[in-house]
Amino acid sequence: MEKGHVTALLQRWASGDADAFGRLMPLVYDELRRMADNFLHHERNDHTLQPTALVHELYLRMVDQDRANWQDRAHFFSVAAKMMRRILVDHARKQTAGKRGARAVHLPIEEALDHAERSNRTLLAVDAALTRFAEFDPERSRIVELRYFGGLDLEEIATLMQVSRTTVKRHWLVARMWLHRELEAEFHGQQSLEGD
Amino acid sequence: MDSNRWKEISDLAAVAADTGPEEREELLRARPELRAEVESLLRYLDEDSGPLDRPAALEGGGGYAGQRIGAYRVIRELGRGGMGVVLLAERDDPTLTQQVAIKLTRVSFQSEFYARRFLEERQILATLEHPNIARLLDGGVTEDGTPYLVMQYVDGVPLQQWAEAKTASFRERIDVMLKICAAVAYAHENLVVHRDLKPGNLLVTAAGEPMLLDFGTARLLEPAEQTGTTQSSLPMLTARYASPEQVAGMAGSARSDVYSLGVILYELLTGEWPYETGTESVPTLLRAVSEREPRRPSRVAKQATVSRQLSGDLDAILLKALEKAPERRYGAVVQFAEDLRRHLADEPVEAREPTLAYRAGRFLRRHALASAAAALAVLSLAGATAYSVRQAAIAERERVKAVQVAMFLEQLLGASKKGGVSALATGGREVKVVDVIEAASATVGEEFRESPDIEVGLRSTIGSALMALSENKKARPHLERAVELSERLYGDNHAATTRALSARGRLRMAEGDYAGAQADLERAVAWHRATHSQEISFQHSLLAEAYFRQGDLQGARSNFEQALRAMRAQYGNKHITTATMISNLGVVTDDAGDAGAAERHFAEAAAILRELPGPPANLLFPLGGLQRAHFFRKEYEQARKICEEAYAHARKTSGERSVGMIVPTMNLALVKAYMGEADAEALARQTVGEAREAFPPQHIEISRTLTTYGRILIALGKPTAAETLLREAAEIARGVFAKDNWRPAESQVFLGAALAQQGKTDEAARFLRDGLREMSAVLPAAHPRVQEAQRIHDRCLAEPVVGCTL
Repeated sequence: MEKGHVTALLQRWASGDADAFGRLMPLVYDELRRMADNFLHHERNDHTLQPTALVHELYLRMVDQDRANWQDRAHFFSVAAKMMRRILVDHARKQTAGKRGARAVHLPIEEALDHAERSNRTLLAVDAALTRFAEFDPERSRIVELRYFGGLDLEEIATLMQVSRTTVKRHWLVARMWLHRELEAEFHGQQSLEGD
Repeated sequence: MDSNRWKEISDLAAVAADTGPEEREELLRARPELRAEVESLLRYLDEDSGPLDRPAALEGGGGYAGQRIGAYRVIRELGRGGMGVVLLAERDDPTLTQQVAIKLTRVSFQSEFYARRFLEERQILATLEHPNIARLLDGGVTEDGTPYLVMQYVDGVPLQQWAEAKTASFRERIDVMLKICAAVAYAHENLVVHRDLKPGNLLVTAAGEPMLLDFGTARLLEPAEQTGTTQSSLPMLTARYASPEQVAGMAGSARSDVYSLGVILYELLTGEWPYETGTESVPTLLRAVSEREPRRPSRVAKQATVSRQLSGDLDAILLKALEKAPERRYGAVVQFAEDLRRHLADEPVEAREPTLAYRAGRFLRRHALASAAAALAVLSLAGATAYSVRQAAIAERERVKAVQVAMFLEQLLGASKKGGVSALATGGREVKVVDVIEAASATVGEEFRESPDIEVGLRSTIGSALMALSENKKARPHLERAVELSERLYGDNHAATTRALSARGRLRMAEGDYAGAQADLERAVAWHRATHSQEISFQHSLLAEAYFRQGDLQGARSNFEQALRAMRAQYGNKHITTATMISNLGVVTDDAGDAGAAERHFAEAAAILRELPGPPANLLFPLGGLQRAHFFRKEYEQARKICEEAYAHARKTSGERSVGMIVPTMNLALVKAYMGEADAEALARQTVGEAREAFPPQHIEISRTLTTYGRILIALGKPTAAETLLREAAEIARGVFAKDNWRPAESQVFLGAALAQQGKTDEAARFLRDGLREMSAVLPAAHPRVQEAQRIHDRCLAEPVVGCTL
């Protein structure tokens, strides 16, 4: 992987070249995907991989540290989080497919389900809820994407979005409340009170 | 949710979350219309660890222990590799205690390469039943769609470990090797070449029985077909046991298995690898395999007693098995085993008889002939340009892939329960394959309505498979649909779209829509370039062909050059693919009139191919280019030397009196005629006779052969006889060649020359002028053929001399 190439794409994207974004996405996706597959094929069963490790390693691998500025870094992570989300969701979907029916997330989380299964179901439920949330609150949903799927911490997100840490934290708390309420409704088969 | 209302709710919730109970109550009381909703949110504020507090994670897939797969219950995992996991399991029935090994793919159906490999392994194993080969017991697809194989569980230790633990004697080691040889020979009889023999695939049971495992790479074709998933060109082979030809990127044969068995026995007897290397790095190992000579086993052995036992017979046997050139090894595993047996029985071994020449097994020879003939057929259709050799090889490989695709589809969609895969293996192969693919693909759209992503992949695969079976019309709708669906689903910049485009590009090329092919392939190349894919070299060479067919030599040259650059980096210089690309570049630069560059390319390609084990049949193409270069420069001595090399090579690779001999023989006859050797005529006459037997009367080959024969007769001063032949050649040429081919024009020019020499000036002038004009219309003015035609035209019209060499 040519680091200079990715860095150049980031910089072109930052200067308004939409095409650069389109070229960057598959690069990031494929590399992340490769790393994730590598993990899945070579690690032991009981291991879990945190996205933060993958995403940060990806950054070191793909971006030329000497030439990239903080904006490039921010842009890179926002693409990476989006791609990471896609990979995690695909994987979880594959893992749960056919096991308990397609609408598995509507089942209560049983003790009988093993750890991996539980966490896959949770992930799919978060993804679905977050998609709904993004329809009326895109800004907060982006924070959740970066944190939950991209594994970034609040500090990094604040730098990335060019707002104060306090603002990010406040946004995060609200999003978290809404999503947790939504997820509980989902897992207990209740209708969300706020649902349209 | 209304965004404005949500903004009010969320802002209030954010502020309220940050306050003490009293202040919060005050805030909420001030906005009664929002209160209920904000409170329902705040209930989740302090929940100490909810799902969102732990970032999402990739789960390494649940354990298999206790799971049921088909009629079996998993006990534990035995191991895992790139393509799957192997589990120890037993029948889920307390009255039966049989333990089995289950091989399960860990990849989804979207990864067609692995799925196909898996099905192929199943197919191969099903045909093999031998006490020293782990048996296939069962197989199927799990509820979530993962294919699996159930195999005899072998409770044993790897070969080397067995020998060390038991401190096995020389005789015991050779006895075990003989059993292994018997198993491999049995597989060969069933037309299965293992191609990945290594100690890790050989277990010895407590009873001392060796067992051969893992036919995962058996009979698989070149690794190049795994699109972009691996970096190395030898991903599946273990470098230490791969033969020199496999290391050079060529397909393994039964003789490759002989070589691998030789290395295994060498290590078993000496404890050392045949080659001396400083480091263990893979590039070092690969270089040693292709360049170094194996050390004499008796010199490697550390103990004097072992050395004595090795010296003589065993030295000779092992070194013969380890020969670099496949044809110098034992022709078959049974011969290798027979020599080992003779050694044990103190009979003279074949390896030590220096005069004995081994012949290839009948099957292998037939196979080699068939591919040479196929390559030639494709070549003559394409108008005999070297680059099509590579495409012919691809076509061969694709045809085999088509069979695998059919099996895959059948499994996936349950196309036909009876007479399916097993019928595929026996006779009527191609017809049956098309039927299966067609029947299965009819329902693809319906089956995968809910998962268009899978549909895209399947359509591309089905389309490519049908194309490989020359069913272009049937392939078209699948590929069109794949492109359209993928563009909608993923947009332009995506692996799936690229794959579909590349397949459609090849289809358009096959259908003669070169501009359309170029458009598709340009897009595929752009994506492969942006993603730094390994496949870029192949895509560039396809695109180069699209340019070439449109007569855009500049575009063809630039793309071949880029393909070549990538191939040099990917495969190194001493590789058949690299050499083929260099030769193609020679053809393009030659056509463009850059004779110097062309000759350099042909010379480099020939030099590489000559050094490869074999050497491969397509050495003929750069040799042809080199010979032409000398010929056009009237350096007949050198041209003749190369013609003789080509002639000998063709005889070796395609066999005496085979169709592959026609072109090299005619070239040799032509150069002999120009050197004034009278036996040229007899040689040419005989070859024309053979061509007339091998091909139908209206065939490109007949026209080409007759033209050369006519030229030879002109050179020997027999213009009347030449006229008759050249008239026939020109007549056929008009019917069989494409409009933009220069050959019909060439026949006319020579016909003109033959007429001029007989004093039939008017008719001669007409043919010479028309021929030259037509040739100039399709070739650049600097092209050596145009130059030659111009020279003949000028000379014959000025003063026709009988018996001139033109």
